[in-house]
Amino acid sequence: MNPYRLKEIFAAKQARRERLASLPIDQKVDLIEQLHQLAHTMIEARESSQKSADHRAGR
Amino acid sequence: MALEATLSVLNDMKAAGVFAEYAIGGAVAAFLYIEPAATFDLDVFTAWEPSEGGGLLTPQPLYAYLLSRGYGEYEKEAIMLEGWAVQFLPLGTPLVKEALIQAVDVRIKGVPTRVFTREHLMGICLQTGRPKDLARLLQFTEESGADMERFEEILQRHMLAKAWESFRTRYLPPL
Repeated sequence: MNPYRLKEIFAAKQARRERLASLPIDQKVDLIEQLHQLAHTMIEARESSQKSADHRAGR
Repeated sequence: MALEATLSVLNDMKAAGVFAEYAIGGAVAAFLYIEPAATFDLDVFTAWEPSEGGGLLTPQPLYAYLLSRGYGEYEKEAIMLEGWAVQFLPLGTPLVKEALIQAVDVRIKGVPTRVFTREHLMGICLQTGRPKDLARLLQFTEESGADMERFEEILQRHMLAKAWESFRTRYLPPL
């Protein structure tokens, strides 16, 4: 990949991080709550997937 | 999973004298200053030492109070309060004790609460020193606009200057 392109990508990521870091507190809390919900959904999906795999394997 | 409902439970506990004071630390507190990421737990630091106004010697009354109000579901070592897994943590080091005393008052969706300062959270990250804490400390230095003079004072008070120097040499660009 062109190193100049990479530099742009990293700069955009840094700008996004700084924007998210400086959101007003209630917007931040909304985001934290959404991420909290997402984490639970992902764990439930992983557990469900593991159960299915165990079932298929006869465990 | 509204955080303000959980904070209201904590405020009720304080009003009922279950603990003298509390403040939010850990990931949720950090995410109020840096880019948020996923987390499961809400770390609540409480004064468990006896105080003039009465306080806790053990966390047992805390859990008894919660049980009497219908909160008896646990997720590993945390208790579920309005959808959040809350970990009640003691003031394990002088740094954490100072972080509780100097925590800042904030309102989260109208609910008052107290949160560790960013500089104390940075110090705790450095003191704890797990890889995820060091990664978070790096984020603090890049994103949070921390008061570095205040941070340096905390480092001096809690004998963390050497650890900071080592971290800075390893992870931060030269001054």
